[in-house]
Amino acid sequence: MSMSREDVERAAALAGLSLTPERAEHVQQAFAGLWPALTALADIELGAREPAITFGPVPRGERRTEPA
Amino acid sequence: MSTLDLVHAPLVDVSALIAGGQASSLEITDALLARIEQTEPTVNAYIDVLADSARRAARAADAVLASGHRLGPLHGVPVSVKDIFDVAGTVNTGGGRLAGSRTATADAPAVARLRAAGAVIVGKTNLHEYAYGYTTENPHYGPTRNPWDPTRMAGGSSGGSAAAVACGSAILALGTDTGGSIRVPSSFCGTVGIKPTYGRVSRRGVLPLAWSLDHAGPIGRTVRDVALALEVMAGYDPQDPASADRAVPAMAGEREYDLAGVRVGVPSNHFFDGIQPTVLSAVRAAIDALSELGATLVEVTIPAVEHTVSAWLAILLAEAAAAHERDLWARPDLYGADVRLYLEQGALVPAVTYLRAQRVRGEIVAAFRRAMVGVDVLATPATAMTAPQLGTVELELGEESEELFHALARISAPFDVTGLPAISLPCGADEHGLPIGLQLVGHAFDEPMILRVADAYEQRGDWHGRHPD
Repeated sequence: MSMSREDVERAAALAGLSLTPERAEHVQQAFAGLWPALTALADIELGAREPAITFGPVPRGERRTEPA
Repeated sequence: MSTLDLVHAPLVDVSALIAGGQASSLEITDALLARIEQTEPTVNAYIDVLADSARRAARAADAVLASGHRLGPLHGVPVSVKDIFDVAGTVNTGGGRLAGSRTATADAPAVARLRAAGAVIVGKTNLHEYAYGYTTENPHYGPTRNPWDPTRMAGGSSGGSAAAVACGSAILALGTDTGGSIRVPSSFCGTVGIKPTYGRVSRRGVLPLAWSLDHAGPIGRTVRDVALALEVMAGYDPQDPASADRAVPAMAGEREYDLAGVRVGVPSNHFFDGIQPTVLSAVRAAIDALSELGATLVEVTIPAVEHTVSAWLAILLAEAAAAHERDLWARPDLYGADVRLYLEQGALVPAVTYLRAQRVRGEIVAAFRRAMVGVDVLATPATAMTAPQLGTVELELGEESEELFHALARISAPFDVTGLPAISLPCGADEHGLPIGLQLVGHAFDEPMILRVADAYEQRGDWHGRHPD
């Protein structure tokens, strides 16, 4: 299941982005193509892993500015 | 050396010619500017050619050398810069229209380091708008065309940089890489491009696309050219929050050809699936050549790699939308159609999805770390195919049709997600004569090892020094 056009309009508005209904429909159609890839992330077993936002590829206890 | 030989010469040779007094910086700069004039109507590799300032800088470089001083290893050598880096006194367009006439007041540190080593900045190269795409079919500045076949794409996003190096309108050019944007155009155009370890080269003064994925690096004609340039560009920048406070190892110069003792990991999953047959056979032959040079081949499996594109996509979409938030909200009409649509979709990615993608990223990093225990480098194709026709959106590599962006991302994006250093270098040609790229990937901050293996392969001479007519 992907977002409907109304969902897109609402989500965009929450993000501060104003979309016309026509534009929202265009974005919704494109986003539907990406949705399976994004939702597939939910099926991955992650355990307790911490998000790697600050440069991600860094093991716990090492410097936060260096990668894998 | 003829003018044509000069513009196709490796950077290290050009540098030696200038240092030895056999050619002046002005002669070489003039030859390059003439080559730009000759090739631009077809290739369209440049957004801005800085002819006057380049000639002034070349004359100044010649005068300094005549007085007995040499600024560094790039003294007097013309270098081109992707138009996403700040170059003082020029507009950093990013390949878009948002900047207007606003000029940069200072060089980005990566550019400043090249200039301090003596480089002459000759122009700013074309790119996919704001580096957000693989094709360099730029709606504002026109498409960059592949010099091997102008009906085909140069790749992207650093398409202008790679095309310029390939056709002799640049000796070396800077690029950026968020999902393969240095290595993809290098593979398509037959150049050498290195994406260093995340944090190795400062991105300050470079327009961001996705902060946790963005890298900067050089594209050149030979492995030794990019090694020299990377050694100059690299170094800690406390004003780039991702910059790594690591000493820069020696990377330039000649190396031993013998790869005895080097262990090359060859992935048994993912990287050799859905690959154009001519690319597959050329890359397999290149890996055999590494074995003939003394390397030991080791089969490796990387369990989580199939999740890479999903994680990369979620991170890229969300971070790019955040980076462009103000302009997208206020001036959406100034963006080209594809980039605007990517950015609008990025605004829809839930925070939970972004965070999950970052957690999956951690799994992918851990999987690569485990897979690379006991190997020095990984060897894979650089791209799944040779340069497609301009306008290609989907193609068939296996039994099913696949979007071009996905076919490129699945091979190159894993190393933006992990931050591992990766180089693309020519290793063959398809039935149309189009270049094929080999990708070598190293451990974090071990660029010297991938450069050693790449240089040894290149020095065999099978695919070294080819250029389009």
